[in-house]
Amino acid sequence: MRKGSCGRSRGGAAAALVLVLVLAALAAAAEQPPPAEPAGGAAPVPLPDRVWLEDTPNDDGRQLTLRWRGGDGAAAEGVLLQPQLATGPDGPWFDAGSPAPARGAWYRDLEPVYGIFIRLGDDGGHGVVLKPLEVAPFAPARLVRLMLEPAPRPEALAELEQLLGKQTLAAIRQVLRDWEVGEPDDLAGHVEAKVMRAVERLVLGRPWYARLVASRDGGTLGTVAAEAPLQPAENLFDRRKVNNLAFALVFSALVLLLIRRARRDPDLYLRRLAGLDAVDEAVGRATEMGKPVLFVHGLNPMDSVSTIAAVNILGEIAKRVAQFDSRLLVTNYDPIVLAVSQETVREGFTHAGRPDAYSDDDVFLAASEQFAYVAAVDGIMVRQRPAANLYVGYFYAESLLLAETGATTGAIQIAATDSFTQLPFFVTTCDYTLMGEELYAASAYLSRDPLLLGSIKGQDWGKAILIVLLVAGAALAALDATWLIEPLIKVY
Amino acid sequence: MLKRTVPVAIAFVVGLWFVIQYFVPAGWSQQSLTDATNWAKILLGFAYILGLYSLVHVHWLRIRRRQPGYGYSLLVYLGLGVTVALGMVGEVEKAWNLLAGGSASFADFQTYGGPNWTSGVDWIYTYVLYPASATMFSILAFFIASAAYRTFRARTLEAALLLVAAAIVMFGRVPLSAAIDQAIPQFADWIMAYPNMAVKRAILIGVTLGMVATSLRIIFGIERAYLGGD
Amino acid sequence: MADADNAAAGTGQGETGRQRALRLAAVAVLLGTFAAVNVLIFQKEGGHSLRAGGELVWKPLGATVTWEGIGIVVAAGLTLALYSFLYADNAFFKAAEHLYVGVGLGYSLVLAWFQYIKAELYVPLVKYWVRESWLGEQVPGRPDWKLIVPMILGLFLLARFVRRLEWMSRWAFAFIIGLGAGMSIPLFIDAQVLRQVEQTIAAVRFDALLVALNTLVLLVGVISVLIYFYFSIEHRGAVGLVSKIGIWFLMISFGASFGYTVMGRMALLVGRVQWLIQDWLRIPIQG
Repeated sequence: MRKGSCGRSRGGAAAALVLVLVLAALAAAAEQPPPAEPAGGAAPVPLPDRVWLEDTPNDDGRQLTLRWRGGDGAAAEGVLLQPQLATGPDGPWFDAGSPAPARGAWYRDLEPVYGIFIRLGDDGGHGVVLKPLEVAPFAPARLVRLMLEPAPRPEALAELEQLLGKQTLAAIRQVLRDWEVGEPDDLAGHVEAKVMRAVERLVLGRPWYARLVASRDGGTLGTVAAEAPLQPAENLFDRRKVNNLAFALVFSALVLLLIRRARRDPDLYLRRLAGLDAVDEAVGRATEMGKPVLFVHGLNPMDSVSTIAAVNILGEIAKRVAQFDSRLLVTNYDPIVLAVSQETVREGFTHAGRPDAYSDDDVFLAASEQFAYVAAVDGIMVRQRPAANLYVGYFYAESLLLAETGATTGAIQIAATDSFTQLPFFVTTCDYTLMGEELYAASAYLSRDPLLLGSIKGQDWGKAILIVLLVAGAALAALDATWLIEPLIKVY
Repeated sequence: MLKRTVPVAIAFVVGLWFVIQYFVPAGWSQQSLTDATNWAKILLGFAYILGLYSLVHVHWLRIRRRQPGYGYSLLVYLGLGVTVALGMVGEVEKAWNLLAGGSASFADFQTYGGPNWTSGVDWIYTYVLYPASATMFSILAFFIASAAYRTFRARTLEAALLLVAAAIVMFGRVPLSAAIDQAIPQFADWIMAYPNMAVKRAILIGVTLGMVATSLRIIFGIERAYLGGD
Repeated sequence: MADADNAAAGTGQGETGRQRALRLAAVAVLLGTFAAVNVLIFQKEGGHSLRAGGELVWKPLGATVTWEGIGIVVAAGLTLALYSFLYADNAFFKAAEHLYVGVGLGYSLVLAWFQYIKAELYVPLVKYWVRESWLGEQVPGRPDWKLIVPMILGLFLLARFVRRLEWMSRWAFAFIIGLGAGMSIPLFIDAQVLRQVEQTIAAVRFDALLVALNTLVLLVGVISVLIYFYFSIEHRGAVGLVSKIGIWFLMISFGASFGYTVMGRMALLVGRVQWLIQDWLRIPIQG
């Protein structure tokens, strides 16, 4: 590490510490005990004195939260509160979910749904999450089935109208007409999915009324209605994931910043990665022996970042092979990876001034089934005897089958994988293994492109932040104060 | 422009949106992810035509050049042809009936549980694909032994640590070890729960940092090997 | 993989006529033996191929040759041919390998049609197009028009067949790679960073000596391995020492994973051999 960056490192650590402390302070505010419960007497059971509906945060608009205060004194022992839902102020009312104990169902127990911010504020009230679509009469499948009856019974129609109202009913009819659904059999495949989604939205997109029915030992004690009806909302931000967002932003900013700095000052120190230094040796040996270099892709498809990294490495290796005037064979398992690899290798050869030396037949689909891939690649290794075998990407059980066969052919073997379960097998059978994170540093290392090197520096900073977090977290845990760091690391 | 700028722009827009999408719980946001993954499946379906061409062409060259062993390439064609024929015969029949105004209806053609699994393809799966996979998989039993021997010859401190840990954990999982001393399986469990878990966590953390950095380079068009470099 | 196959594919050049004759004889003898064994097996009373709930279910097969019986012979032949690779690369392995590759691709193609193209593109989109423009038939429902985008991207992929239009496929690549890159960032931060840190800290306990020791091992392990992965600092001095500890942790962990899988792999082999003995040779094994 160079001198100049040291000062900044302290600045970064200090910033991280401040962030920890701020979040910790926020969480501390939440740690107060719930307010003391009023002492109960032998008086008649008090019912909740305030009941209201609020939108359940962090969801796709399928849930409502029914909250209430009071009615939880000692006298309420054994009292059950059954939440009910209706689409009109006068019912009909239907049970929504199972009854909640009057002295349980604490609001703060909803933390998995609400996220860590529920700890802010000293709310000792109660709350339950209600799912209107799971209340049997409102199940969209049932509603649609009723509406698609060949000759609708008048009482069924009346029931529907009472449940949903004329407007919603008309809107649902329009959806069915739009999708040309005339009978239940028409609902299949994507039509069913689309229609059901539209019906769900229509059913949810109306005000819902709620109330609590209190009972003890089967005897009803009374009913308290929620103050106002509410329509559930589709939320735009999942507050539970705010720590993820913060980490993503901080880390991305670091990476992009360091990339920018590398543009100005491209002279970055990078420790030696023996496995990558061996690539040149391997390619050189292949040229001497007149044998090909074999690049074996892992099994993951193109949208896996391991595979993206593998393609980046492949591009660099193609350039080297072309420069050394050697031959590169690339075995593929996924057809999209195949196409991308063909493009990458061809450009690599063109870049090195050897476009004529490239053939699409050298970058080929070896097999499209896991163990057929093993058989095919093993066959190539024992018959063509490549001078070097490179295993790059994400591997599964095939790793050892490939690498052990390769080891018997006397080839130089280099593996690069982030597959934790397969690392032991590559480590025991390959001459060099790039482990985990090294896979992602490899293309930068090989290309020596300052921009890519800058992002490696960013990875190091990320590790520094996490080490600080781990140490701080452990210290706080030892002091029994984990809640100070929880806002930063809690995953729901 | 069309060759470089547009793809970089597509990767930027799609990439950035699916970072943001993770934080947006609304229904339409989740739907966009479902749609995109379905689209990726469609692209994979098209790409199999490229894969088919690649494999068929490589073997065709061998046959045409009469390379030694080209006869084996005919076996590739045999396996491929028979499997595709058995899998698609029902579909071809339906399409034929439909075009000829025969009995099949679009409703028939709409069902997609798979090909006629109860017959040909099912047989191929049960008696060719499955046993072949199981056999290749089981060869690991031999290779795991030879890999251990390979390490044994290395004679470095690292190799020794690896072998000792392997021996303890392996032995700890055999019932016999508990019969000798209860401490053996306990120690094996301890190795799995502490040193092994620690390494797993560190590797996962490091891998993710690498992944995020790589993804950022893709989204911001800094790394574009997939477009053939810069 | 065109011309370099020479040494490879056939057992090839440089072989004298005598060697070739010997090789062919060996192949013939082995094939003959396999055929003879199968004929004997088909003479056996009964036979079974399916195991229900761990119990052997014996099915009368008699002398009649069924598809099931043939299937077992094919499977046994493939199994033995693939195992022969353990001895050396040979004609049987090559035949099995090539057949397997072909069948595997055929199977993938059939799946690609049913699960990807038909289910995701044909049924929701193309079907409705065809019905009105060509056939005048009515199918309830309507096309999902936005699927035109992936259809065009898919056709762009196929533009790779035309040299001058190859660049079009990059649009499809960019979509897939952008999707993967974008999705992965927050997903893996949750699953592989925050959750790992959370669980590590949750395991921190110092209330007893042994427990404290375990905590220490866990923390030192995670941190030393993270430091081992440092790229931009030279591994010398204190950093060098810590990363050395990191390597030791890595090796112990790899050894543990290695040892942990051994028994499972042995079980696979045992299962395969059992299948050969019971299902193919029809020799019941008890237990």
